[in-house]
Amino acid sequence: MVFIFTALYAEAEEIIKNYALKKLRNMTKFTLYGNEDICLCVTGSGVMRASVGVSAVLAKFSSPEDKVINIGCAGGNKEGVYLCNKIKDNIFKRTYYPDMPPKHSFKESELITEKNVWKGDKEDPCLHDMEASAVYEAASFFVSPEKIMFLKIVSDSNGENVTKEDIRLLFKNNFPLVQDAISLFLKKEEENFNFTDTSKIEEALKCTVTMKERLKRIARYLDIKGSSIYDYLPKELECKSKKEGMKILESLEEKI
Amino acid sequence: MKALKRKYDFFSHIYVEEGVKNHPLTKNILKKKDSHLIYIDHYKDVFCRKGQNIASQKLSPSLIIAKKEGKLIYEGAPVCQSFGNEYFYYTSLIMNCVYDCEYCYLKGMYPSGNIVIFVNIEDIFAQIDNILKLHPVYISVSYDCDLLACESLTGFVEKWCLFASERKDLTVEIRTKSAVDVRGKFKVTDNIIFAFTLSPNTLYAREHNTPSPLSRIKAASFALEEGFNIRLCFDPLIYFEGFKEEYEALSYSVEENIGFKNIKDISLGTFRISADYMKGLRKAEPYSATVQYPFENKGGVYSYPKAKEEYMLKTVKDILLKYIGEDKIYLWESGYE
Repeated sequence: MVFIFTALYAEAEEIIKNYALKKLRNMTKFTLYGNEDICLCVTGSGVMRASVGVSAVLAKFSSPEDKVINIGCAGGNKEGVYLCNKIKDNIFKRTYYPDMPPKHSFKESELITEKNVWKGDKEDPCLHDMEASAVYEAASFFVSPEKIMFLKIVSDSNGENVTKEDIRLLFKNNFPLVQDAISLFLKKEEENFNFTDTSKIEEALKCTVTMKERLKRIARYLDIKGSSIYDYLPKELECKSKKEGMKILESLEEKI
Repeated sequence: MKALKRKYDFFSHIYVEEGVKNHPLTKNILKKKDSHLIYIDHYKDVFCRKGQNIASQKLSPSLIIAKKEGKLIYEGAPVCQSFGNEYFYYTSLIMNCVYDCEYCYLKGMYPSGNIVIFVNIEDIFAQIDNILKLHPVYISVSYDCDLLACESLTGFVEKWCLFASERKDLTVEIRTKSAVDVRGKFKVTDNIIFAFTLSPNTLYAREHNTPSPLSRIKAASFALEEGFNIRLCFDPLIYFEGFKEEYEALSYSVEENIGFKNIKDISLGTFRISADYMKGLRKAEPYSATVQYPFENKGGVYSYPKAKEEYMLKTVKDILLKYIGEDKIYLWESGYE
């Protein structure tokens, strides 16, 4: 699942429309939009709302395999769409580094997260937003750094008043690039290996916690080698005591 | 279990500490790579982030260029072989390796699969000179990396050879799985030991992105031809079906291509890893039979059960004794040397 977080509905509208995301009601305090692969949340502006939104959604729905994208507008002295490789928090004075995809077609930039709307500085090469550092900090509790991505579209260079309609148009015009970024994270990873469930053997051998760990380790090793723990076990498994179970376990360890 | 071919994509991103951005080696590395460049305050801000996915980083590692600070030289660890040297040290100018051996302890030792290059080799040389005032020094400089494999990027081996050639009380071991032809590249001096780790084919299949056993043997023969001391490391020994036959074939190939009589010594040791590192290694290699084998925890170090360990060591030692004297074989056994 890819979780997308935007600050404003105007930043999310094209994504909702093009991926046919349906409104998911009463799931969290935040309105969510989703399909089989994507869950989108509009958090509201600023680090506090972003932090609460990401935490609320990921705590309830995410697993470590999921991915997180923060998509939104940014101020800056350059035009275009950027993947951000360094997120500097101007409020708490911390810096975060998401792992970057090795291959992509985007320009990259440093991004600074501000408390208020950035007022512009002609010498500044960075982009400025109001949510990214909070998204990173909150998301990193749930997923690893290569599963967090920041895509920013430059909307203004001096904090000038940008209307919702301007943002909606900006995202509509740049939607192919937004789609490319989402695609980077939508690629399916290799299917996980299914390891043998040892719970029935554990029960039959009357395993202690330590014995269970040893048994699982052997089963996993044999699975990877392409054989099965059942090929090495006696047909009659039921033990009267853990001592008997231990004997079977030890003979198993000798055989492999 | 089919062995999946791993694809690598090196250094698409380079992180540079602000403090070393003007160091000549930093500039030299950046000249050679067309990567996205990100400036950082301290290498740990990237290298030590929580929850990194080492398996994915090993496939597309970023490079971090930094300055090594604090303690630059360490005393040898008990799981490492000292080869009878009283003053045994090691240092790490590079953290992590460009190779991707399934069983590598670095995957459990470091929080990241990215590679750090410390550019300030001159500070390490200064510390060695200080220690040399007290006693001779034997130092291994390529434990937590493969220095020779990164030579085209760093030039560190060339610097070590020059440095050692002017200090007769210093002995430097450079361990490698690379197949770099050293002829004509470095100042030849007899206190540099190139230690080539050799593996039979079945194990080589688990050493992703490494050169073949034969090309490593040939590289060792070139180093010998050039006049360097050569050590061969059959370490770690990892058990597989056909273990004896494959080590016989490997030893025969060494005899044919190098000649055991020309080798300084041989290191022999079974797989062992600190229990602290095993957890991380197993997480990074969930589908590796080599790593997921049910090793025994003996006093905080995971290794093979005693009988298996003894069989492996005796088998390979007996094979080697056909070619080389026992005095040239250094054995690592559990319970330490």
